[in-house]
Amino acid sequence: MADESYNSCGFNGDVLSYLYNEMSEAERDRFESHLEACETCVNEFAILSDARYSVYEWKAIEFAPMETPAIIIPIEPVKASWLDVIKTAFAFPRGLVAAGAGFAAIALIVSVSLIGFSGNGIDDKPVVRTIEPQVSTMAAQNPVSSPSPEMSKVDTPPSPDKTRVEVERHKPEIVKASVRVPKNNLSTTATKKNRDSSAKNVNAPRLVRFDDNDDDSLRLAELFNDIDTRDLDELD
Amino acid sequence: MYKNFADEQLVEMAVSEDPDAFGEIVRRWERKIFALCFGMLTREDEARDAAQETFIAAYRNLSRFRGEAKVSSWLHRIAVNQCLTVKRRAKTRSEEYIDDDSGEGDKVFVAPAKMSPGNKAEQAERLNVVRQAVSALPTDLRQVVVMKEFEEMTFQEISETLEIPLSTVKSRLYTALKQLKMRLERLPVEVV
Repeated sequence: MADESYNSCGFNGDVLSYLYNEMSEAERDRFESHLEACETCVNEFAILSDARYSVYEWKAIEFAPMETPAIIIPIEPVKASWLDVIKTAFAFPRGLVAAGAGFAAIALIVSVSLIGFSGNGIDDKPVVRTIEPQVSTMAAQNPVSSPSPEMSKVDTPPSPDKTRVEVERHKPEIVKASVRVPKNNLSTTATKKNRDSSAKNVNAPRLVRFDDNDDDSLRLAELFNDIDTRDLDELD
Repeated sequence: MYKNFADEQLVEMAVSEDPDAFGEIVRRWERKIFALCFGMLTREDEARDAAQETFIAAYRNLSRFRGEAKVSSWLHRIAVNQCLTVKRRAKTRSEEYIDDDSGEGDKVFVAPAKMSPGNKAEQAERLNVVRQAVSALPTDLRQVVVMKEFEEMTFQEISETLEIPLSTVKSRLYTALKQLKMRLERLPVEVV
């Protein structure tokens, strides 16, 4: 519907706004001043007022005395099925589930952190460390007992903590021992022919196959027997 | 007796010292003048007083009526001036007494306490006419009338609810009231 031009004066639309009191105080004063001089607006206002009052009176007489109806909607409670009862019985409160999930997440984070910290100091691979990194020095000091420089081979790894030095000696009897250093978590493998002075710093195993508990008296007896035999032979 | 006379003739008769002629004018226009005053003052008691003052002023100034304008326009002019006087007076009072009790809350329609059976019948007939006139309005016009008069919504609220421009709301209401006026004129019912 196209907007209609209410009247010829410049207060189109203000008649309705004034009639329904939807004007500011200033606008009302301005329109009332206009109303004193404009016959068209006066008659227009009278026509609209009369029609509006008819509707207003109709509403006041027929509808105002009417009580607001009380609307009651009967709602029957829904019976829960046996499955719902079971679900309800075993259902955890949401807060409890959330708290459990949070606790599990925290425990998981702590566990991962502990594993990560412990993994930094422990290496599953056994780190072999030379028991005597001064082999070359000792060999120079004692050339008789030490092997020749050509016979000695020293490998120096990039990390000082993990050092492997292999000493090869042309001796028939080679004793191999692994030593774990607790503080540095290092394993040491030593290959030696016999007891060496450099190995004293290390809690090395016995380097000979003789046991202290072995009874060597028999061999002494045999020795004495040999001596006695030799003496008898000499006497003869 | 006076029903067949035009308003201008009744005024001439009243000027010729026939008070009953002026009584017929009052009977014809009392309701419309009251509606105008009610539209301006928004209070029923003030509107009734203003309407009464309007007819008193008209009767006192019958000799000044030249017949250049319609009697309806003449009465409308007197009523508007009377209402403006009441409003100015009320405004002056409210400036003197801040705790003036005037307001929208007093806009309550009260039916006349003492109504004759004939008046009750007239009122019932008039309400029936209004009901039919509102029902006969096109849907878009009736919708605006109901939202404005029964829901007591503002123009802006109606505009937002119906998603139409504010000017369209006013235009529809204006057209609806005009059509209602035309339909109500077909049944000349006079008020108490």
